[in-house]
Parts: sequence; structure tokens; C-alpha cells
Amino acid sequence: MRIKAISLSWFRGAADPVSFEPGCKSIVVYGVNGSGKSSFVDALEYALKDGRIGHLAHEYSGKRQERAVPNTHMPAGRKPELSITFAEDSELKIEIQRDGTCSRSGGEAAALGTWDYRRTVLRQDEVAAFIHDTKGGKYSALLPLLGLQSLEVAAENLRQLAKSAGEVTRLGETKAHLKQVNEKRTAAFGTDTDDQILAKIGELHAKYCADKAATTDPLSRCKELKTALDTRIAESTADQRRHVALQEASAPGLKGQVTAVREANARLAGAVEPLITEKLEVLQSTGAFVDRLADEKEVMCPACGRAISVDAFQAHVEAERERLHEIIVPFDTRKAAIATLCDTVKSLKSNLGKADVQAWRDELAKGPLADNFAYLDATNAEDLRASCGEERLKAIEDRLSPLIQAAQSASKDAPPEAKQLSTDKQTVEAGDAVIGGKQQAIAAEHAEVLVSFIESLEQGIRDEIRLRSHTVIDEISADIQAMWAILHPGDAIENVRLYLPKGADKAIDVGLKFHGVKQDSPRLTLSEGYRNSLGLCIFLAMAKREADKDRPVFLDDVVVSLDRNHRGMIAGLLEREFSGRQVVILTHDREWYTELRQQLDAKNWVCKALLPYETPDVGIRWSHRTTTFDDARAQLKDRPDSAGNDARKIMDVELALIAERLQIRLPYLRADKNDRRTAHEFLERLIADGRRCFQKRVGKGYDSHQEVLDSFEDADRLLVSWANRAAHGFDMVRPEAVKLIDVCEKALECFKCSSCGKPVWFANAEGPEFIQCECGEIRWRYGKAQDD
Amino acid sequence: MSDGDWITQRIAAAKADRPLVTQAVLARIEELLRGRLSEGEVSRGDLTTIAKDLLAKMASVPPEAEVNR
Repeated sequence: MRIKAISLSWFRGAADPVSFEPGCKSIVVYGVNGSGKSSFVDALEYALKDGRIGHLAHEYSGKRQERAVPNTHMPAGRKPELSITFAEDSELKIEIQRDGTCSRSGGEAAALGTWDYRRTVLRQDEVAAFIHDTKGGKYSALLPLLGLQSLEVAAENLRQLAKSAGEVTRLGETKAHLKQVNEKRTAAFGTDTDDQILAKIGELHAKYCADKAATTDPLSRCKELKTALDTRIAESTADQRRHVALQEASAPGLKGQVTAVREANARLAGAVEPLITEKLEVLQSTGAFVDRLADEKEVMCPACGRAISVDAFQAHVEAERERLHEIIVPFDTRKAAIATLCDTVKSLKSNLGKADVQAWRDELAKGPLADNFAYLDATNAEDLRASCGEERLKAIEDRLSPLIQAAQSASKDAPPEAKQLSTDKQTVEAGDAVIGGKQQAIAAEHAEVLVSFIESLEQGIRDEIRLRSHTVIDEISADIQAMWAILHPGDAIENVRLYLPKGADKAIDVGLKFHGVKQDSPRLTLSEGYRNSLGLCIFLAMAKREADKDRPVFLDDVVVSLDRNHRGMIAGLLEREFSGRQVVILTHDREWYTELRQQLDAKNWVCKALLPYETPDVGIRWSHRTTTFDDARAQLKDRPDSAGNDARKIMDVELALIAERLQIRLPYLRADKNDRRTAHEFLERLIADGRRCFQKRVGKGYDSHQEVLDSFEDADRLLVSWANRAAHGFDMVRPEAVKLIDVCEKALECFKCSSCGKPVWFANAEGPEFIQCECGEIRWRYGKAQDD
Repeated sequence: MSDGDWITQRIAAAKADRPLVTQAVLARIEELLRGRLSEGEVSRGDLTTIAKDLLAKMASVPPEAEVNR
């Protein structure tokens, strides 16, 4: 879908409607800095990125860039508008309200949504952006080209699914609980196997529940056993009941449990304290951060302080989330340890609160354990779940341990039957926990296996992405290398390629060989100019892979840091690799524009120049000329000297290129003087050669083109006398500058046929020594002067 | 390799050495990978539902298989 025209009204630099009309052809647009070239690129970006322009994303432009998009001098009652007309006259229109909201109309609005900005527009500040981007950023930029978005989406969804599976089963908490159960098992059953434990429960069931022999389910057996034992204890003598209660009270491994909570607290504090410090900073910065996020391309990460792109922010947040997720494990362990301690304190309180032990308690309460009992009575075990700090743990240890020791001491001389009842009860409780835990262990194992299966599958998909990426990346690398070879023939920088760094998913980088030495990044060795050149090759290689070959490519001032030689290769590169595409080149480089006008095939290319910007009310304006003399004219009013000087500089460049076209031979000068000849030198030679070489059709033959020679002589005379004066800072009055510009322009016009409008070098004529315009009205004979 | 083949092969590779992963889980995950999971971001709530469903399918392994394991 080629672009026929982009029209702007009060959008960025535009005032009243101004149209950029490549007419579906490729185009070179020249304009001095600030003439408004980029306003057209801004319009395309605005349309592609749903009302956002990257370089305007900053804190001063407003949330919807409403302070940056409209022309600063837009009259009341007007609003910024843009329209893009495509081939076959389909059109997208966008109207922007004062608050920055916009409305779209036209059938092409949806189709444009499939265009990828990064493969459509390359701006000056973005040339090296790909090279400077992170490995992840490069991967994101290339992902649409790899055609692997669905795989990437699937891998990410699997990653989240694995997490969800862990969360729904409370895997962390369950595992911590099972650890406690295991400790209980060791205490009660030693190294007994599951079968031995079941056998023991079976024996006890036969002993205490003989009437329920039909029950075979181990958990049901435990339940029945608990009831039977409680009944048996309740029916025993007061002395036996006292001993059972004391024995139960003396059993808990309180000390170990307090230590477990203490250790969990320490682990948690070690992990959480630095995290909390960081997260507090995050919270403090979040307000300002979120505001900036909407406007900035790059923001400072509040957690680590690094500058980070908005794209990379997502990944960064994810990494932070991972860290928080890891913290959950010690939390779960601590929770389980506290739960066990809580149960123990409850059990102790319950056992020592029984009426059966009241007499024993009353006796002890008269002595030094009075405070301990008071503490136990006042303790609400459930409070431990909310707060279980060191102070609390120390109190539990100091106050409750003596009570347990006293119970242990008192239960030593328990009658054998009471001892047995107590032991059996503890065995049943441990067995119940072990058997119940078995079910939980199976569920946890299932969850763990499922999580690891999903994680493995995610890795498998990432391997698949990697495998497929290699193929596409190799193809893009081949294009980059071919383009690099055109721009840098003979340079000792070779094998420029994209590669997938080892051990990193979602990452791509650029490698090369610098004078034969392998480099993992262009940033290690390449100069800024080379990096930009490489950035251009990468962009073009990516754009080349665009499936829709009718989509245009915009290059906005991308050759700023390239030297003349390398810049000169770009036309060849574009004609070779992009001859079938619509290419839009915008440049403020007059010399390059002049070169391109000469180099590019006029059948496919249009060249247009913008007038220098005057005021926002006047807005962007096109020059009626393809030459750049309007730059000089713009200075006539205030600085006629500069206008004259500009005219001379334009002639220096234009004539150098024309001389090359016409194969004018000039004496060789030393060093760079050879490349810096003046218009006078060329005109002198053109006048001398032109008498015999520049011919005009007269009847059926050709004769010397005298009018042209007169124009050259006029221009040369004025350039020598006036332009030199202007260049050296002497006064030049406005009429003199006007005349100089007109004469220079007229001289250049002489190379163009007044009948067909094509230049004299447009086509080869009948003999190899002649070139001519399209209709043959004017022609030039190569080397005539030297041969004669 | 067709688009379908690679999914089947990657699932089979992930399943290796994980006998607890049932055929029902494999069938469901393959169905999801060919559809929903590849089409766009799935919400947290939906992922929870899918996870529960898969866990239920894991737990549907016959007890004999568990004993033999």
C-alpha cells in the first residue's frame, strides 16, 4: 500500500493544508533544518502508533501530547488534522481535538494498524538505537520478523500456568507442613516404613476398637482410635487421668519448635529486610514514575536507578516479581513452624487446664512456678500466628518449658496403664498426621510434577523458538552483510551478523569481525559513523523482509554521521535492494540531495525541496524548484551576503556532480584540493569544452549551443566577482545577490532540455561518445576537447 | 516438520521421565497449545482454572498406578 500523499493542517510545523505528494513513487525531500520535513514522518508515526509520537514522549508534551502535536500558532476554532492518501485513492483521516483525543475515519485505518513502525520509519536518532539496545530489546524488535509471536505467547502463558499450578495447590505451604509431619513421624515411629506404621495402627485398632474390625481405611481407623482412647481415658481413675494429662503435657518438643520458628524468622529477616528497603523506595517513587512512564521513552528504574526503556520495564517488573515469589518460600516455612508451635501451646494449655491436674497445679502454683501458670493461662495461642517475635519466643521458652519439665517429672511415676494409654494416644495422633500427610504428599507430588512438566514444556517451546530463529536470523544476516558490503566495499569489518547469545532466551545481538578478530558487539570497536551505517543496514534488512512489498520505507536524516564516500553508496544500495519499494528519503544535507538528484533514476524517483521555515503562521511550504536556490533566496531580505555565498556553494556542488556526469577532465590537484574545486574551475572548463561538446539540434544536424555558453560565462563572471566578495565578508547588496542567484540557476537550467525537460545526460545517443536528453534536442560529446 | 508435529514432539519430550503426567493432561495441554495458549495473553483467573483442571487430571491417575509407582 504505497503512499500517494500526506496532508497536514495545523499539525506540528504545518499551518494551512500542506501536502507531501510522492504520488506513490520514491522521493527525496530536501529541506534545511527546521523546514518541516519531519512533520510528515511525525504524521505517519501518529497514525501508526495510535496517536503517539516517540520523540515527543516527555513530561512537557502532555498525556496525549496535546501540547506538542498542534502548531503553536493554531488559530482559535481550528484543529490539527492529517490525512494519508494511499494508492487507489483510499484515505485515512485523523482529526485531533484540543485535549489530544483523536478520531479516525476512512477505510484504511484498520489496514494501517498492521504496519510495524520499526520496519517503516528510521529517524536520525534511531539509526543506532538497535545496536545500543539491550539483547532483549533487539529480540523484541525482531520478534515480528521471526514470525514466532504465537510461540512466544505460548511460552509466556506456560510460564504463568506453572506458577498458577504452584499457587492453587499452595505448594510452598504444603511442603513446609509435610516437613513438620515428617519430624513428628520420626519422633513417633523412628525409621518405620509406611507399612510398619499402618501395621502399628492396625494393632492399636484391634486392641481398642475390636468391635469395629470391619474398618480398613487407615484414616478412619485413626479417627475411631482417638474416640476410643478418649473414652478409655475418661473412664479411667482420677490418678490415671492426671498422669495421662501430664504425660501429654510433657510430650511436646517445645524447645525444638521455638528454635524452628527462630530460624525461620532469621531466614525471613535476612531475605526480606533488604527487599523491603528496596520496595519502600519503589513505592515512594511509583507516583512520579508512572506519570513519566506515559511520556518518556526511557525512565529511571526506581528500584535500581538504571535508565530503562519502557519496553524493558515490563521484563524488569517481572524479574522483581520473581524475587518476591522466592521470598514466599521462607514465609511458608515460618508459617508452618508457627502453626506447629501454636498447636503445641494450645495442647499444653488444654492439658494443664484439665480438672484432672488441678490438684497438681494448685500445689505447684504455691511455689516458683506461679508466674509460669499465670502466663500460660493468659496466653492466647492464636495470637502467635499474628505476632511471633523474639520477645514472645523467649517468654514461651522461659515460662512454658519449666511447666513441661514439671509435667515430665510428675508423669515419671505414672501407673503402667496410664503410660500405655498416653503413649498409644500419641502414636495414633502421629499416625493420623502421617497417613493424612500421605494424601497431601501425593497431591504435592502431583503438583510438583505438573509444574516441572509445564516448565519443561515452556523450555521446549523456547528451544523451538531458538531453532526457528536461527533460520530467519541467518537470512537477515545475509541481507545485512550484502548491504554492508555495498556501503563499505573493501573495509576490514566483515561477517556482520545477528546471533542468539548462548544461555539467554529472548535475546539477540550483533556480532562482526574487526580486522579479522571476532567481536561480540559493534559497540566494542566501531566508530559512531560505522555504527550508524550498520544500524541503517539492519533497519533496511528488516524492512526488506516485510511481507507486503508495497509498504513504504521512510529514512529521515539518517546519514548525518556518514562521510561523503559512504553516504554516496546509499543510492546504489537503495536502487539495488529496494528498487521495487517506495522509499522516502528526507535530508537536510544539500550536497547529498544534489548527488541523489543526479544519481537516482527519475522514472522511479521524485526530488522535492522545502522552503526554509519562516513562521508558524506561514507553516511548511514547498519550493517550486527541485534545486536548492530557494535556501539562498530565503536569506535575501536580511542577509544578502549569505544568500550570495549560498548560491556559490550550491554551484560548487552542482557543477562538481555535473562535471563528473559529463566526464569533464580537470588537471589533478594534490590531496583534498582535488575534491574541493570551485564553481569557477568547472565553469571555466565547461565553457572551454562546451564550445565543441555541448550541441543543439539545428535542422538535421547539430551545432554548438551558444546560448548555454553565454549563460555559463555570465554565471562565471558574477561568481568570480560577487560571490567571492560575499564569501569574504564584503558587502553585497540585495539586487546583486538576486541577480547572482538567478544567473546561477539559469546556468544550471541549461543542462536541461527546454523541449522534453530531461537533462543532457539522460540517455546514450547513437554513438558511445554521445549522451543526450530524451528527445535528442541537446547532446554532449564526451572527451571532445581532449581529442581535438 | 508441520506445525502440529513439533507441538506433539515437544510435549512428548517434556513428558519423558514424568510417569505421573497422565494422557488426559497431555491431551488437554496439546489442545491448549494449539489454541488458547498461543493466541494471546491468558488472564490470571483463567490460568488458575486451567491449572486446577490439569491438577484434577493428574489426580485421576488410578490408585493401582500410584501403588505400583
